[in-house]
Amino acid sequence: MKYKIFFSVLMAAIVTFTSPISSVWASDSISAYMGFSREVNEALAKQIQDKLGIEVKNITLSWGEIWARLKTESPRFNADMVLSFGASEAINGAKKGYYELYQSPGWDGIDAAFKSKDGSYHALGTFSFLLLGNTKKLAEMGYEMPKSYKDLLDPKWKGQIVIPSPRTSGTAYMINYSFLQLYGEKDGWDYLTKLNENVAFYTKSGNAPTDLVGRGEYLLGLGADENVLKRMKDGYPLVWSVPEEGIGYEGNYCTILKGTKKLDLCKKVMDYLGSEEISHFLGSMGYIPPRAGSVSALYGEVQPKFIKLDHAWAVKNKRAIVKQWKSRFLMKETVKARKVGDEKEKKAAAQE
Amino acid sequence: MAEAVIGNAQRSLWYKIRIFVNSYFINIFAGGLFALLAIFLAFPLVMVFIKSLWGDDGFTLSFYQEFFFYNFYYWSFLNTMILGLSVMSILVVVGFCFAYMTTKGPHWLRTPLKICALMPLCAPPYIFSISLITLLGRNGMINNFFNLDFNVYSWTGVIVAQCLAFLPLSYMMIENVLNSQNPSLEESAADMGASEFTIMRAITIPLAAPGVLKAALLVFVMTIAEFGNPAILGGRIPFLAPDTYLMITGEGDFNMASVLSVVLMVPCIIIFIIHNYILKGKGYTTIVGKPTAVDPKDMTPVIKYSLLAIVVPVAIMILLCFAVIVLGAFVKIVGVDNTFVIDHMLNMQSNTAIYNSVKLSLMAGLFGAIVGTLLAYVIMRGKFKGRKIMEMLALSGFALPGTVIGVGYIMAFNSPPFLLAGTIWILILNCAFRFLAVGVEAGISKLHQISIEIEEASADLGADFITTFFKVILPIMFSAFIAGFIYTFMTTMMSLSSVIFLVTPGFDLAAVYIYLTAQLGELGLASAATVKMMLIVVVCFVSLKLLAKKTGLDVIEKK
Repeated sequence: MKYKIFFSVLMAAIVTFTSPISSVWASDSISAYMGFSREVNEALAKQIQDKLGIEVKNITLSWGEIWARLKTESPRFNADMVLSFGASEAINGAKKGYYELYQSPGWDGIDAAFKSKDGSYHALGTFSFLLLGNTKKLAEMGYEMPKSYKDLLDPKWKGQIVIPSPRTSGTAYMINYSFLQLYGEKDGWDYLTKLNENVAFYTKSGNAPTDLVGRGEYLLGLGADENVLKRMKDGYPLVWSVPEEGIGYEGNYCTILKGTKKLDLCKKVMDYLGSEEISHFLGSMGYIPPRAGSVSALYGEVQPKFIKLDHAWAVKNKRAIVKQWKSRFLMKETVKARKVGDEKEKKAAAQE
Repeated sequence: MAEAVIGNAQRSLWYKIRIFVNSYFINIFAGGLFALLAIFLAFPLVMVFIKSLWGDDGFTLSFYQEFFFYNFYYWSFLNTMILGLSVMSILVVVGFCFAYMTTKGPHWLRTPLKICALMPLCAPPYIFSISLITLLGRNGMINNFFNLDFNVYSWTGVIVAQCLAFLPLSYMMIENVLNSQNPSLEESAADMGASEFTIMRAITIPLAAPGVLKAALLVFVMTIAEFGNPAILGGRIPFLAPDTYLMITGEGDFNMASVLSVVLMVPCIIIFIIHNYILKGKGYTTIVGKPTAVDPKDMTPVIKYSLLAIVVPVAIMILLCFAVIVLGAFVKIVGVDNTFVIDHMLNMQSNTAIYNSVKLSLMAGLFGAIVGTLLAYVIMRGKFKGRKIMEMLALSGFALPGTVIGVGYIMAFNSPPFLLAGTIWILILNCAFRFLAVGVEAGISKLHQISIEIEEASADLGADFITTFFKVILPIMFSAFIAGFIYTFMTTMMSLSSVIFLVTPGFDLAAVYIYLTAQLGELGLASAATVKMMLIVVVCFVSLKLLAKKTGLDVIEKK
């Protein structure tokens, strides 16, 4: 009979632990794939909960990961909203009809550049990539922070630079096409190939370089500006700079996923996201928000120099560029492989 | 009159059902369990296989073609094999040294060494990459202190991290082998003047060889399937397991991911077959009855010190790694700003993640243990065809890489008829069926020990099958149940490779949370979550043990 006692105690423990499973879903909550940095995601979710009383269950993912999830899960999405992903994901998803169309009244008075015409997505703000350096390590080595992207090609930086990988990171894709548009396609790839010589490795997330450089693992990094302000406040010996050629930028888009069972809650959240408060909040985190009154705490009143970018081109050519990147820097392919790959590419393009 | 007839008819119907259930009980059970195995273990694997051969326009070999054309994939495969082999050979040596020291070494050293060797069990395997970065990263403590220029984002880093993570596995298996050797053999050799080195070479090692080989193979499988360490420390070196993960989460390319999964599965299946069929029953147990107590001998100094030279640095390394994790949880930025803070520990998101993990592990453990015990019973006592296949399926979960099963699950259960994606059930079923093997194996070996006569006696005395099952069989198999439960519980807490594909917003799991934060470079949060998780695992384990002790069921006695 002893095993019965054991068994019942075990069962009791399990029942107490597992009982809240059903009750959790009863409260006002939505779930979201979130593509800001993890801290911003948590803070934004908290802000929404405090203000609207709607809990945002979230999971932090890179943009590529969000896109991969949407593609696999369509038409039954496991989340109600996407809070922040890139232009190519937003536009391609709208083409495939992934999103609810909602012209949010909360977004009245915001520049049309931040909204889609049919209401399938809105941009919460823009962010950029920065050149990051570790002050302590730079001083130790006696190096200056590079002024121009060309300086990064100096052999002294060999194995000292970290950059995110466009396989998973939206920031990385932005970095890539910024160079392609800055130098022109051919010279752009040449530049990236030379830069590749100095790159230690490509990280999964666009925010990882901030931490790797901040902890002094590597001297320099190109990474998202999202966490930089926070990390510097935390006491990391970080320095950021905008090289003389300027930096790229990209929107943080948000959208409601089609088929959500909580459309009303999602609309409420969407309305709130267009408010002055959220603009202020995102500005304080370092983003450049859509509402005119709020400024980015990172860049201040004066906007940094931007590279002139054609985002439509970037969206259209994303597949091809990422594939090119992969075959250049990830896998050294044979001629035959390229042929097979090209055919595959054509087929996929024809399908879209 | 009429009522009585109906009553009779009902009674006889009930009687018939009871008779039917009694005589076919085991087959009904077997059918149900077989269906479960087929749906939740075989079906996902079949899906992976189909997906690797089935493109948008039907059957195609182009994905395999692609695999062989790009030497990126080829390197990825080769690297994975090299990693597996090197970790395996290192761990055989280190595991043997630890086991030798704890079974034959000086008494005062045994317990501390044992604790060191088993410590990695209570944290997820990839935490070693977190601590290695803090210790030996380019700005790591040891590197800075000794002014070294050691690069942890390299082959050495990955191999060291994997070795530390899987030391407990190799140690436990080899220790078990050494314990089953009769000391009197060595004793008599020593009496006849053989040196300890000769004894080791001529008796201990040859006797232990088959068991050690088994341990080595298991280490190999576990190493190539685990993807946390290579993903965090691998830098630019490609490995199969993390590539499969990136292929799906990053690019959404299920065909290529399936091809990589199939490729990863090949060595695992070969090893599974060697392990279960060729090596089965091999191994020497020289103890019959109770081992005779022998006075412990002092080890020959040469051997003692050379073993210590291997064992002590490893033990120190493990302790250092855990110390750094604890430190990282309580300071602002470990290595950069070492002021004490409690923020990391108080982070709510990680608390919920841990809570979810415990919940999931309990449910998966319970479910897995029940199914495992029943399966063992059906396989041992059933008299139907296909028992061997069932056994193989049930035990295969051991050898299958987590990534493969994870990939299979999202492909198999994201559409009707089995629409499970996005619910907690997909996680529970995944973990329960993946870790089924231990419960089944324990159950089978338990039933081997107990003669079927006890059950027959109960039947002869007039008990029907259901009574026999609950009164005789269940109590007998209870220790197997516990073994299955504990194993599934522990591994579910730590497991990353398959659940990472299945987590949904709002249901973070601790292992996934730690991995993601570590990958983003936020070591403080990752360390804090690890510390909390370790505490919970230890508390759970101790309370389970206490409970078992109080109720007179000894958990330690597994087989």
